[in-house]
Amino acid sequence: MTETAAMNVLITGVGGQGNVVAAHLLGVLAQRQGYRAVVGEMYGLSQRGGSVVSHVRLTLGETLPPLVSQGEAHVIVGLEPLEALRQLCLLGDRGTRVVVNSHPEVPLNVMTGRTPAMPVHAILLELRALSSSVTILDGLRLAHQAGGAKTLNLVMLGALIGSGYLPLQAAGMAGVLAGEFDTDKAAMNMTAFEAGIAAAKA
Amino acid sequence: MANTSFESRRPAATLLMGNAAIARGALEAGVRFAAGYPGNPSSEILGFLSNDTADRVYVEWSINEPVAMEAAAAASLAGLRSLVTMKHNGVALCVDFMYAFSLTGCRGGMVLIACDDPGAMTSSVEIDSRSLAALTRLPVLEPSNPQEAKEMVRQAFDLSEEMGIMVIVRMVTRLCHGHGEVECGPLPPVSAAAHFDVSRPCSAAPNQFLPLTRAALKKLTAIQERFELSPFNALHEEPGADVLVVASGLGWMYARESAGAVALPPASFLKIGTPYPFPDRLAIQAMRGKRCVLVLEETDPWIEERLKILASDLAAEGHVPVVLGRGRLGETGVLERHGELSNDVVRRAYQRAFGVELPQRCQSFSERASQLLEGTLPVRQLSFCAGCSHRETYWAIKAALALDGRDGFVSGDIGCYGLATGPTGYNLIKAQHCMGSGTGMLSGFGKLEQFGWQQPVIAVCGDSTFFHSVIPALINARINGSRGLFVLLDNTVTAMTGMQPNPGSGFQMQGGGRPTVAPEAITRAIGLPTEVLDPTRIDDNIATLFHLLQKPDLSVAIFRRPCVIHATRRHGRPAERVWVEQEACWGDACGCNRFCVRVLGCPANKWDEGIGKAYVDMDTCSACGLCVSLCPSGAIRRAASQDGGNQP
Repeated sequence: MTETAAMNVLITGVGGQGNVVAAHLLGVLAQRQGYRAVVGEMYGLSQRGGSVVSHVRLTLGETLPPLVSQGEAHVIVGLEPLEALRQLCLLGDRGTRVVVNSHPEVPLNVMTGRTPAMPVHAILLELRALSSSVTILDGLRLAHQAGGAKTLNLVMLGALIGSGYLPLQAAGMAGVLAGEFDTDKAAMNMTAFEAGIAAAKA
Repeated sequence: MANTSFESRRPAATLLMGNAAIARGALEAGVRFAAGYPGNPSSEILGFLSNDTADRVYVEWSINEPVAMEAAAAASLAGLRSLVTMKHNGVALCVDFMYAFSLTGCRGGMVLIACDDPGAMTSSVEIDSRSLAALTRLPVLEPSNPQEAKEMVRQAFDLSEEMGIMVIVRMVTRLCHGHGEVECGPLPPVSAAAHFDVSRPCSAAPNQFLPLTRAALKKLTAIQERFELSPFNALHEEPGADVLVVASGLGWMYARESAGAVALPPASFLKIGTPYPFPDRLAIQAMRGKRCVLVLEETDPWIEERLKILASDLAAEGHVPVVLGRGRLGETGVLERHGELSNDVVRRAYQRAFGVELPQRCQSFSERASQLLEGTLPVRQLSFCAGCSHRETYWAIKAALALDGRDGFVSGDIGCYGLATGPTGYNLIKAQHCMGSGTGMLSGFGKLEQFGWQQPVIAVCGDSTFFHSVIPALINARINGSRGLFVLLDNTVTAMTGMQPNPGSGFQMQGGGRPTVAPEAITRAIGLPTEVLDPTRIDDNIATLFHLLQKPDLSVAIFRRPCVIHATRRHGRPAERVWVEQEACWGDACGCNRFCVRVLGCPANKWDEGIGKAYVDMDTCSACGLCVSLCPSGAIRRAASQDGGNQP
């Protein structure tokens, strides 16, 4: 990994998995712990089954541009395994660490037989072969336990913090969630976040 | 985000989306009237403005971009500060008004937020609003981060009001949708009464053209003088450097960060925040004595070409620098002619311009990553959402065209339904360009019979597009006797850009209802026979469409069902559940070729490779029932209960 003053995190998945919210929450959490945060993303077609990726850059220095350079992603958070591998190939390097949900969202074009499949076990093996550290968890199962598939993003955010790959603390997340959601949703998201932390530490 | 209320935000640096920073800047400048037409990446700005400030500012989604700009201009003529927002295509549509309005000028400060999409990530084309601004002689500010965006918007209102000319703030996708820290300032008290001073008319007319143009050029010259000294431009001189990097917008951020990642030769840097009118003197001063100038800007080589013109002024001094960038047509520049900037793009430009070494990834990693990206990793195709009524409508169109058998096709338009250029809409759309063009082309295709034309043509458009720009094309087709079928895919909301209301929606953004304009009232008033259909009635709809395709004139079919995502957000998930009855699904032995998964292509219909049967993904399914009605062995069931459903 190239020496750089920033911590570069990619959060990736498919449209509807809550990428954008996860990136924003990570930015706010980091900001409360003294970092300057920049989030880069684009959306507009994401609801329609496409790949999505958010770039979260944390620094103690001056404001950064919103995109991570090739080879300079420190951590990739995969809400979906194929997308985690795609971003690892695009922007990662040997030292890039990966936190990944093992439940695949099979692309529609694979389902319809137009594109050859890549089975999830092959994807996870490639992640392990390419990255020095990979944390795998069944995030979707934990999300269902916490209150539904919609909380997958918080499970994976918890797993990111629990992995210890970033110098960020879990403390303060309840306050961040209280500032962004109503009481019930904040509580459900906090349960998911804590389940993710525990899974990554297990 | 659940809480986007500005009032509740602390005054210190807040993590704001670029579009929220724009809204904040407008509020701090005392904006009273805001209008726009949704289009990514601009769509969120008005939403942020309307969140909790109804008493402070009037906000509307207008029928199209020119009307939005004209409405905001009216507020300006009445002395109010006004804002208008749109994506780059909208700016192109407004050029006619902009030509005239730059001559007549504004009264209350007026700012256009022009949101460009470098790389056309959610657009059909790249358009550089700076080029359109220069054509129409309107000043442009170009921010490089959300904090600067907020500050520029605030100052753009002051500049506009002082000089009496609309000012453009040019944004790009990554800046609109990215988040950065923004320090918010105080909001001014609400004041000013609206009134148009009729003793000062504001009209562009032939006999006024020359005097108005002279006055406008005088304003621009004064603004250029101002820009020469603007802190939004900055020259960082490196003593002894014979290389100059000129950058604007996000290019500036990439230029600086990338300079730290490679061993650049000693270089001076010029940041441009005011691309038009261009600070010529500052640029000449920066270029003087330089051997090489590299320009980093989004989309068009606008500054690059300006610098090439200015470089000729240096010829008299005996030394003309080489200006590098995207290059001329037919020439290989150090940057690609099109596509967005990034650190990686800028580093490659440094390499090509100055021969520097780039940081390399571990070789074995890089080789394997390339293999996977090029061969193995499936790219995701876009699709209609599970339960989207467009899938049902296109299924009926596909079947009707197949029954007809005369090589018919669909002429398309811009919106969710435009995805029918791809497999999710069975590749039905064969011609698609811009808002309204699908029906304009129907008008032409439908007149080709005298030249031996025999193919049936179906023009499709959505409800928002219908109001935006299709009505004139439809009237043209009617009065000229074009033959064809016009299909309106009406999901009652502007879905693609985030569920904004349109004239058919019956609600408005600042709460409350409003009158609805029914598209069928318009098509019938034009004199076109119009059928309003329920997309779920597949068999009936195929028969109706087939029948309409045989008619010798123009007819209209409106397929109406609310957007499933919008309906779910408003009313919650439906009580029904859809599932595959495992005993009734024959798997691959059925002979249906996995119909629900492979042919229908709904994201909620999935295949369990383990047991070799179909199932329904309950997290995705919206219980529309299309697969229930089409499954050849009747294995897919729907019931109004929480029971049933399968999950692997």
